[in-house]
Amino acid sequence: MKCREIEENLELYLSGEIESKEKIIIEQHLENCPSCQKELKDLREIVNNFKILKNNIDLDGGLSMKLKEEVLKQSQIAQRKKSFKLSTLVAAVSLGLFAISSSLLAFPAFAEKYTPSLPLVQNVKELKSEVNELKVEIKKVKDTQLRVIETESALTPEENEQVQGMALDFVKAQYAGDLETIKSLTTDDFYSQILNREDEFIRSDRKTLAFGSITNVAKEEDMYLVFVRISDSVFSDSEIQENFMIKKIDGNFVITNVENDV
Amino acid sequence: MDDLQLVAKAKKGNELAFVQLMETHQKSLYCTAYGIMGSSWDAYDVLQETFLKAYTSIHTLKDNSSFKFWLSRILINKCYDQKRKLKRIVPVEEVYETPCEFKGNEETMDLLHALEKLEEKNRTILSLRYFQDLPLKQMAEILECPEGTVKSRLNRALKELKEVLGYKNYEEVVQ
Repeated sequence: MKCREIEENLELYLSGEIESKEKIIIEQHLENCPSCQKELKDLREIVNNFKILKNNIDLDGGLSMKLKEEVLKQSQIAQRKKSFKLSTLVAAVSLGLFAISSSLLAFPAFAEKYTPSLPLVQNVKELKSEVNELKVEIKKVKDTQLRVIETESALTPEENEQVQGMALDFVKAQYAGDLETIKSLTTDDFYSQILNREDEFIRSDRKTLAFGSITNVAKEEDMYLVFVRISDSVFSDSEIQENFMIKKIDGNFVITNVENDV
Repeated sequence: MDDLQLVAKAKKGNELAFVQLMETHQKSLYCTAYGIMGSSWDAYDVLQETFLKAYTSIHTLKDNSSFKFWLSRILINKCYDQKRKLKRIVPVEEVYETPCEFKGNEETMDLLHALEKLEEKNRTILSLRYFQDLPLKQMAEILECPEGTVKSRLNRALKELKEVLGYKNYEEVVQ
């Protein structure tokens, strides 16, 4: 190798990202070449100065603290906003119920007075009357026992249970990696989407699926909506919500889409 | 506790673990952002946006051991976002205070000032390499170009840096 080629590889030689064959060639060349020796020495010096610079930077203590506070504060606001993008009545109501232990919702009058502009509070205000009509029950849907959030449903109890059962079967199939069952529950379109996004939908590598709750079925135009909260080995502290969109086609219910909300 | 354990905890929503991760990485991330943005306050803003994004999306990180690489990628994207934002903003007044102070000997201060004089693409590549300590392969992924291109760009950047720092080659020294 000529000096120019050696010089081009000195950086990788220094970082150790070079094959052993090339390493030997470079070392042999360096032994007899004062010019390349100087290049290596200069490079070492520069790399070392970068390190010193990084280690000696003084990120002002107060600012560093402020940065942390700011990040945590903003991310909590962002998460709250994200939660409320769900925007459908049932989702908002069920979320409200789950958060009932948090002080803001536990004392809505207090929140209304002091933080009236927060979207969360506005939602709570709007939904207050509906919340009064809700009830939460521990029930068995098909053969799964879980919390059921009851709203006034436009469906008959039988239909309601049928749609809920489909959602639960879908989730179980996700965790069992059972594509056949998933296919039987979904439209062709959605099934091909699932196949394309298998890493998102198929969770057979995760364990300990636990059902948190299910809402009863809401109807928006020709779409039936049901929301299922689950947790698993990956999301054990925070739960995942899956939002099911189901249509009645030729007298049969089929899942047309499922949105994941973590 | 090492990064891997902290990342696992942070993914489950443990805020303290996340704060610890911020502490571990803030210096190198700040320096990288400074190297790319060329201004302390912009670097500070980028750092804040980066941590914010990391905090809200850490659950999507698949391989916990690639946390640093993942963080670097967010940082780079936030730098680009910030640059786009800055194009639309006309600064009203100069801010003289800086959020951070670089300390060091004469040589390291010279390096910092030399870095500021380089072309942006050269500052970016040097910052990712020496502040963020990324291997060539990960740099190629972040910069979306082949490893060979990263290697030649890195050599070019080093050449420009040496020139600005006034390094002489062997022949010049001998003469």
